[in-house]
Amino acid sequence: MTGQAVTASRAATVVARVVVAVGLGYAAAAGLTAAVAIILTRVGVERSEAALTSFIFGLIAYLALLLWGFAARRLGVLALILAAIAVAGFGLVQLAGPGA
Amino acid sequence: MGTGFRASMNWLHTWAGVTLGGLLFAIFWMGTLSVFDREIDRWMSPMTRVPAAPISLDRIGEQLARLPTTARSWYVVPPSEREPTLRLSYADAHGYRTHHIDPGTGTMLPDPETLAGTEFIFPFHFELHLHAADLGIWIVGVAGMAMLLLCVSGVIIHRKIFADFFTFRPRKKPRRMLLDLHNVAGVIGLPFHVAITLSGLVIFAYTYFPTGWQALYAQPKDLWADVSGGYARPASGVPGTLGSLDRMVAKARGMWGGDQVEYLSVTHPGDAAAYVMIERSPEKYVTHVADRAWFDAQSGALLARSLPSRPAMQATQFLAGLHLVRFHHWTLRWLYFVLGLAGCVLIATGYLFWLESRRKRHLQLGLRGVRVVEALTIGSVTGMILATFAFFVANRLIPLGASIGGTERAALEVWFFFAVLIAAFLHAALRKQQAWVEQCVGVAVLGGAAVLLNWVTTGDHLIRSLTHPHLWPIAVMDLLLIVAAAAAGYLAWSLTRRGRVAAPPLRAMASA
Repeated sequence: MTGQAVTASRAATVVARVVVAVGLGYAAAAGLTAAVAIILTRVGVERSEAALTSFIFGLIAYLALLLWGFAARRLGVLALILAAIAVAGFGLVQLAGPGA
Repeated sequence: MGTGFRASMNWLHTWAGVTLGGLLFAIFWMGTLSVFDREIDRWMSPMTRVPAAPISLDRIGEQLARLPTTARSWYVVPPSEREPTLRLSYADAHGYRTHHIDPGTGTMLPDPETLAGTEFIFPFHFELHLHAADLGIWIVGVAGMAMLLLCVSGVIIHRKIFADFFTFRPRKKPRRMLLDLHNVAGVIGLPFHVAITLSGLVIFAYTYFPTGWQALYAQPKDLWADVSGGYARPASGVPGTLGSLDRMVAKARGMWGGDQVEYLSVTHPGDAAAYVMIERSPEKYVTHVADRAWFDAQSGALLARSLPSRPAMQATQFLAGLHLVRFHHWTLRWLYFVLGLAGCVLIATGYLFWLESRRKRHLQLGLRGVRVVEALTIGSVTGMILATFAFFVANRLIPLGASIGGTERAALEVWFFFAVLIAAFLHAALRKQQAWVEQCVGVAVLGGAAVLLNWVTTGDHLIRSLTHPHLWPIAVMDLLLIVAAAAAGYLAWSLTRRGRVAAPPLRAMASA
């Protein structure tokens, strides 16, 4: 590869990593936040307490996912797992129905 | 990105810092100043520099009667230790207006015509004055998450974190010294930086991670009604009178163990269905208590009380209180200020270390990275300080009632701030390394000018402000401005002196 091609492919790797870690990481954290809110109400936590706990949990989950997102060796596997977490979380919301 | 966990954390620390450090500096700088936002208000609104005095709320009935009854509600903020005036506010078709009342005489003071600390510096800290679609809150959120990542990755990439605590070698090579300063500020300040960033994010976590509450509630108001209760009723259309606010406040304080009142509001003023809401002051607690009680405005009868906070709400209120520093404790307040400045030093030295470790190589290879990042650093560090001081100077130079093309004085001060900030970035891009010296000189000149202008325009020189306890906030702000001006002047002087001895200015700055 020429020098320019190396630079371009490195830039593409970096952009892909940031998009996956920050973007998909956020989607996964948001999915987990929704799942935690619903699961907490199901195990008997008051609705408002479950809601407040969920967004604080979301912050911590996102921090952990971001760290993992930037440390994980294989980008493809990382993207798949993050997408799966997001789908599972939002899927649970659909199953639980509006107003849970 | 490198291979291995430590290498990827090193990459993350470097690039998250370089890309978001400028924004983080702005947030940390404004947050640090916000610790003394009420004191900055006094400095920028000389008419409110009045001695504290107890004031009866019923005595201001005459002033209340002068407020427009077209307003949907009135707000009354009683005087407190850090805010000696009583404030009356209302919102009508012309927007939100505030009147200050001298507690000693009960008379209305002239409009300060400034956003000052609580309405410019503090909101800048958390929303950058970008209101559309909560854009500023989201940008600050991204920066906050980056700060947490920087704290974690910073700990991981340091092999000897305990040794770093005791390592500072000002006489060593400048690059080593900058890294030492970055490490010392980072390690000593680490618990504070993590706690302040996390608690700041918690305050807006409701906005950042809404999927949880949205899965459980149709409307945000339903959530808050569940969390803390509330009270509202429509206007009746029948005229009514306002009962004794003092008696309502006394009743509310009785319910809260004698605690002070934060503020009260009158909804549907002048209507028979008007009601008064009173909020408890959080000044005695770290936890940001926000207990409320509602009274019938005419009879003063208790209508409703907010619900006691349950554990998750208590945790949120504790973290919010930890961040907002609404409690009255001067020693801790100063500690917040000093640790906030340590955060600013941490961010600035991070940039300087990045620059110094690449300057030579980039120069040899003809890369532009160092030039771009250096301009970004100068604009966001000295430029931000310069713009803030220009904001103070503009406040003392623009006369009350002045306006340019329909832009009122308060907005002119803000324009001044942003004009100087943008000019500082342009100047840094044009003048390269020389901009360090020139902007430091600018900071020194504006800092000194602010102190002198305060003296000339208000008569409150240091001897006077130091000898009158109600002017101590003014004295302290003047003294801090003098210290900042002296430090900037010394830095500019040593940069020039060492620069002439051949070393590039930054080296000199490092060993100064």
